[in-house]
Amino acid sequence: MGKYIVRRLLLMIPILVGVSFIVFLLVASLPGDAVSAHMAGKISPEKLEQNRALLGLDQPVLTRYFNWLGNAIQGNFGTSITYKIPVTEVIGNFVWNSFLLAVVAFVLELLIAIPVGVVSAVKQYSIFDNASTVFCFAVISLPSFFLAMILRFVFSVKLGIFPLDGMETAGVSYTGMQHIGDVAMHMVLPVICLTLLSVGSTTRYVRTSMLEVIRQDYVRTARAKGLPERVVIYKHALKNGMIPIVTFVGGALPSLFAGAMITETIFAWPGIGKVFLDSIGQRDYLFMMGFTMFLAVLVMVGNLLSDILYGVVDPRIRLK
Amino acid sequence: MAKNFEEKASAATKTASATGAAAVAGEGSGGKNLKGNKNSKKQVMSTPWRMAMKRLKRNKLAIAGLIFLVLMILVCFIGPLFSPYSMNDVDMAAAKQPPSAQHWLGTDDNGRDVLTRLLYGGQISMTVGLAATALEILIGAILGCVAAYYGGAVDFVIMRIVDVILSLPTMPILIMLSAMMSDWKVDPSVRVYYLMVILASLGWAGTCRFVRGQVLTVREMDYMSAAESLGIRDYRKIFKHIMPNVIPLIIVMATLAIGDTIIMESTMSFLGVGVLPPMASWGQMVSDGNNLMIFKLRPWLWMPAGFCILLTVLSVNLVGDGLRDALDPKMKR
Repeated sequence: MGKYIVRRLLLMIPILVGVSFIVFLLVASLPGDAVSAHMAGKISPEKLEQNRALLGLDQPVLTRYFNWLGNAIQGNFGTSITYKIPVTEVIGNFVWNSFLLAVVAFVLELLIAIPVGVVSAVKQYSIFDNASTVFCFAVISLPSFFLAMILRFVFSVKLGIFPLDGMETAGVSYTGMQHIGDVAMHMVLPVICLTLLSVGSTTRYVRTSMLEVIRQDYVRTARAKGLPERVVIYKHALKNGMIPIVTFVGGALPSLFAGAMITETIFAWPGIGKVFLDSIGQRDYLFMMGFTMFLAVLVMVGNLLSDILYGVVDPRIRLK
Repeated sequence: MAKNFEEKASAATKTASATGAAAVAGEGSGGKNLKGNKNSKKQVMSTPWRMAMKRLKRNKLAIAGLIFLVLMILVCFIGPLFSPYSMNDVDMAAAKQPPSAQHWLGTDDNGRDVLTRLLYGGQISMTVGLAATALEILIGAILGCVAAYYGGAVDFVIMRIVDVILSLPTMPILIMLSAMMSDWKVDPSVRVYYLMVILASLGWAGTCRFVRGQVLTVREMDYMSAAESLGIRDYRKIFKHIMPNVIPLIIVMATLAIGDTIIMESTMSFLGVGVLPPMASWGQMVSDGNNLMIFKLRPWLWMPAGFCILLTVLSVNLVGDGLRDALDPKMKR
């Protein structure tokens, strides 16, 4: 197992180098750069060139890439041009806002998906199953931006229950419980949005996994020996049916830190996803590079986690 | 008797290739079915393909999705012919009208008829979704087959590229590619084609990995050793013996991918980096709602396009799910 993990971690290195190179090339070939995005029109062309030289933007792409790579290996991802602080610090500042939304949505998602998926599988083709199927496909088919806008339109503009956007009410400085309550009210709509966007596919996943288990011989044996259906399903079948879910949950943990670009932007939630989307417009290339690396690591750690968990919860699987 | 048998065999191959399933039906188990039907001449031959279609027809949700899709395509492509307006008829005198008998969904700030634009937008959104998916499936399937069949260095190189692409954050990369495209100053109507290529350039990796996995399983089967010992050429082995067994799965995957691609395109257009005006697309029409006054007071400008995306993608997904149930022999009802 230890060997397996080390080998998988080593395998990440070439992939990360590949990812960083592609992203760097893309970022470098974007029209305009950080200097023109921030200072064009405000200072003379000579000054612009001076600033470019200062940031090293006048060097050839490959030189810049290897400079970046050399620093990155030592843990130095450079300074964000927009925020004027190290990239790692920017990520650290905003990632928790995203995590707050994501973790609440994730818990809700599991609380809905697991029971609904299991019942759907047990009562396959019942009215409940068909209804949940239609619901799941409907939310899977929702574009994130449209769902966010509809939620805002219905609950904020028409009904006026929840605030339109932001993380706290502007112009007032609540403290203590009032502050928490204020943030919670602002959280409701983005959380509903994120939950709905992911709950459909998870429910289908749980359902498929349970369906496979229910068809197995040992479940028939359990029924044949006269166990009540409740025990058969919730004691015998559920244990094996949950194996893929455990690995799914493990694999999803890192993605809680990834931020939700579209949802956060529409709800003006100061999360890392929104910061990232803004950074593309501002050509904040060091932040773009740093955060893309962060995302790639999250994806790969997630995959590794779910593979390891598979080996842990399912003794039939051997990792080598 | 022998002659009769031969006639039937050729008929089986014909129907099969006509439906696009090529050798799945013709070679796979056509012979077995013939034996079963020898005694009852009137009975329609049941190829695996026909059996799948039968299963699909029993799936009410999938059929509902299919009917809706056909209607949507017909309305979007034929509807504009009956509209008195065109996509970019600017009529400032008729700007900002609410829905009325003349303009069923009102007019936008430039006095363009929203319903007409919605239909044109549908044409573009659906075409982009279909074409980009077709392209990505084509690239992914071929590379996946090649990687799995040849193995070794070829496999290693292709799969590492796939690993890298799958580790890239899709939407930001799409936005960057699209920003580069804006620098080339291509005409919005040409840009739509570039957009398809860009969407496919990231999408093929998932298909490739999936197809490779399937081909690896098929390659180990006994009939492949038989093909091997007959000394058939590589491309025949790949396209005549391996592909037909993987195609049903690719069809399912492709169908579900169309939905994803439409959502991806509409998200890009929503962010202003996909289909650009004067061309219309559903995502772009929803983005009109970014203007707070339009968002609050004139929802007929942005809502219909959003529901069009939702319903179209929903139908595509229902059809895809139905196909999966129908084509997967393990999922017998």
